[in-house]
Amino acid sequence: MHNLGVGVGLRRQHFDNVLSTQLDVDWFEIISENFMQFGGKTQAVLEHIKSKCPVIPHGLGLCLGDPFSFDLDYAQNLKSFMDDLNPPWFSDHLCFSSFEKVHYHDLLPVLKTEESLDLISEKILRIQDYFKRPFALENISYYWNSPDHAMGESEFISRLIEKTKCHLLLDLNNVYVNSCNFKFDPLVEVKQLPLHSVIQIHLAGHTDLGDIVIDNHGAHICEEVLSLYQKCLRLMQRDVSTLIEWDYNIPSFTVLNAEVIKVKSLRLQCN
Amino acid sequence: MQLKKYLADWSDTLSFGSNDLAKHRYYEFVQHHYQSALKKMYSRFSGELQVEWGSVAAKYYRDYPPESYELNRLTFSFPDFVKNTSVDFGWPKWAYDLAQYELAEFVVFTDEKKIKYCNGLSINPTLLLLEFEFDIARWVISLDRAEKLSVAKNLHILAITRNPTTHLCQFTQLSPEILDVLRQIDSQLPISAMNPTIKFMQKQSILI
Repeated sequence: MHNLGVGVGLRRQHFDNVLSTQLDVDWFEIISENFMQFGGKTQAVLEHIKSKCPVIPHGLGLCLGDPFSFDLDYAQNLKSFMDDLNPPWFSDHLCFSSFEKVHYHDLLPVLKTEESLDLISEKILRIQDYFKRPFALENISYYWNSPDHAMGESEFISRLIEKTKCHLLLDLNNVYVNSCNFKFDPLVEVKQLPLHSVIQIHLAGHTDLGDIVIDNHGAHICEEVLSLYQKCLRLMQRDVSTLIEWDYNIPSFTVLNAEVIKVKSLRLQCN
Repeated sequence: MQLKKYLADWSDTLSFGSNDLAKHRYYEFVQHHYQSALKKMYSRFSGELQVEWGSVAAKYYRDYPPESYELNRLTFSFPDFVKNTSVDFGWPKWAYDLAQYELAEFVVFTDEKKIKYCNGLSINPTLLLLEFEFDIARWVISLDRAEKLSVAKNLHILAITRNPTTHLCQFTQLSPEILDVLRQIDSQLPISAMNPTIKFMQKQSILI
């Protein structure tokens, strides 16, 4: 699998930086919906960075968790966008974000049952067939657990990946946030995931409100998540493309760049 | 079909809230996304009219259900909404023009049409012509300079274009001379390079 190094999520606040600065960033991830069908400066920045380094699209709209629908308009736009970008893979979340044409613009937890497993697998197979590119699904943070779940997160993900042969975008901050909110050991959870299929790792910060930890990508990556990251790399015995997300209280690019350098040095310690 | 019922239950929660606090949190997240999208797109409208977005957004999304995968696009019907509800919310007569102006700025700024230079003059493909009843463009300039003028009544057509170099939007009130040049180009009639209006139109990125 490609190891792209350490990248960051490209946000509008940093457009001028990426156009003018020498960067330590190895690659960028973009939120597909924020770039596809956008011209002007957005397009100019994308043209610039794709001439310098890999760019991976990460979407919110495939809505894997609602296997009863397939938004063809969205899929066609995304496909055309990716035909231009030609990324080595693309990703989306294991969640649903719309139902019966109403879009919620949030990542809502999927139901983990045998029926759901079968139907979501079929949708992932359809997506892989439609886009004809390697696809990775991301584990999400969640704040509510359905009493109707028939299996846990790691079993559900493992079986989905086994059935579809897609990749895993392992978000370690999400595992950590869920472990805080639902009181489990994040390392045990990571060990139960299909680590052989991990194509990319997400790292991010979160906010602890006392009664709940919120995955808002609004702070530095905490020490616990960085430690989990190192343990995960050692378990996998390989370097994996790693991406730092920062979406709220977005800092200067200098701060973000320093986070990249820090993560790079932690990776070196694992070799 | 347990999964279908699960999704339908969520749909109710996200529309009306829930007694289950953990699920209700998602309702709040979604309402926050919807409100933030409007507030961000119509930032001057929000600030100058001191909009209480809770009730406004709730009514807006009831009238115009959020049916786009692109968050900004959910807000595109807001000027129409303002036209129909200004009286109910106590907004001034120029509120519709302001909403229309802010939407136009976004649409032109992000227009995906590529600007390509060719021999001779051509009309900027991002050009958008809109009729305004009030002089919102002048008022916005005064806001940005912190010398806030009152909003003057002035029926006119505004040309909004994106500068191909800076990618910033330019706003130009159309004069009869500019309209004449646009008509001539559109009809492929010869135009004199000495025409001073053409130089002005190039400066304003209407012609490229």
